Amino acid sequence: MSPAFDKVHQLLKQLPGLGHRSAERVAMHLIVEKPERLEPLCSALREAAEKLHRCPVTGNLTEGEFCEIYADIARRKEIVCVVETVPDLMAIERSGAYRGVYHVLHGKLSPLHGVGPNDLNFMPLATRIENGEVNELILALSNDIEGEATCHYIQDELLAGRDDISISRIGFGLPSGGGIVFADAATLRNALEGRKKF
Amino acid sequence: MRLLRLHAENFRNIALTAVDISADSVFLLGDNGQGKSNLLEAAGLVTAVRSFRTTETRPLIRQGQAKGRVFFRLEHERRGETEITLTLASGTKQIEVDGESVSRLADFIGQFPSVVFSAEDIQLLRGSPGLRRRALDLTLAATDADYFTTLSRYHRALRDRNKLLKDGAPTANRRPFERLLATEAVKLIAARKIGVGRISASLIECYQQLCEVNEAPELQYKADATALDADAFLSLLEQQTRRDEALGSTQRGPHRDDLAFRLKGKSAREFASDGQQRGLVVAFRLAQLRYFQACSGIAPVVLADDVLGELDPSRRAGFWRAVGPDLQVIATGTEPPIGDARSWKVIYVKDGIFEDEAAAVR
Repeated sequence: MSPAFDKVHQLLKQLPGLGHRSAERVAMHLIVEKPERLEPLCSALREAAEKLHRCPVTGNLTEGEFCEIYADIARRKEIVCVVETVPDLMAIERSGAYRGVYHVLHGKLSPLHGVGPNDLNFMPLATRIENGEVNELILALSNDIEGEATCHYIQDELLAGRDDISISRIGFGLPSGGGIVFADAATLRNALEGRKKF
Repeated sequence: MRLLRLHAENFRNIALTAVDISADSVFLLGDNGQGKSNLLEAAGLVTAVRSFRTTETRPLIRQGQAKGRVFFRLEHERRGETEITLTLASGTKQIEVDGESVSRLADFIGQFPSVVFSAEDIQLLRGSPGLRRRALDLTLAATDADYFTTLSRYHRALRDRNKLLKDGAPTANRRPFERLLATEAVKLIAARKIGVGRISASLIECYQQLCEVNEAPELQYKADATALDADAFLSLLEQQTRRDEALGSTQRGPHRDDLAFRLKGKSAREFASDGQQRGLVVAFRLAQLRYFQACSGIAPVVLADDVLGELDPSRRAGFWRAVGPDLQVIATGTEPPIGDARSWKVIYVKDGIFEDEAAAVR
């Protein structure tokens, strides 16, 4: 089209979730269709980038010293739910089912993608454990080889010799309101293995 | 199960064809290089979206085209009349069953069983262990979704561990992956042991029916590591660590397993005659047919690629005895089938175009 447009298109395409077509649509929208949205978006992004940082304790995003959840005195700080990403944390928060605090790893161990322990946010969690702040760890990591390996790593390297801390993994099973016939074989298997006494 | 119609579009040398293959016995007749095997190859994709001739998708797509498509209408014991569309693009395969897209191969594989008999099968006996593992994995995965999951998880953990070995990562980084590798390895070894035992039992019967001699055929599972539990496998890995680190990959485990075909207590690869070896691999495919039928309760479709001509009359009679009268057979050949008890529907193949008898006469 034009070099300026192509540059915007290329940069947008590099964002997660945007393919060739959707990047083109976003570029057209902001430049041609609704140019009045461009400036508010840019300044909001710039402002967020300036103000937001990782909570030094939990790894969640915050504008203050600590993240809101960790700073909330009503939350039980001795229970820590470990998640891979901030959106994972937000999803659990939306459920309203959890009253403890979080720890965000910002990824999972994945040798094939070059992600090792040093690339993940393990240190502040190790510090919390060492300081005796934690008595229960809930692992809410993905249900694949890399997610499971990360669980094992936490158990082996961060909780070695700490029998005083209880550790559990969230269950993987059927979605609420979903019929059994709609579930795939792997989900059904997990649901059966993770069944509860009734 | 019975295939009723098959459409292929931009598949190998076929631009577009729609063939009625609903008869019990269908014979694709034509000279070499006309596209008979291509249609049979397309038909074989129905089981696991895997070709019996290549592990890559690109060669399946017609030259100059971005996508190839194969459509099936079939009659299925459990599902009734079912339509399947497979769309092949380089690197991706899309599956649709009755208009619904299937996102996980594990949910599809093995529901629609078929067994290909091909002249290349002799490589099962003479070729590398990888070919035998592939045949075994396909047989077991097609009838057991758990096996498929275990196999994929094992290979994922193996690739992760190998990457860590190559990168010289510390033991602590490797250990979590080794634990998972060990868990899946032990499950694989146990499932393969049972599976091979069952296939071997069928092989004896099928060989007897095919060759009418009792030469005590046997399929033996040669596990590279015979760990009974995950801890035992882990200690094996530990013993191998220095070697693995030096070579940058995992040297022991189910990815190095092999199968041995034996006849009269001896390795068939070294001691059996050419005829005996060919008999053994045909008997193996027959045993695979029975295994599919016994495990899934669904009658597999027999796809015979130019092998009937290779069998002598007595073995050919034996072949039909072992297949039985009830399975649908789609065969290819350069000569019309003669002397078989089946009444064949002949389809003439030329330059990727398929015409049945009536059309060919016109």
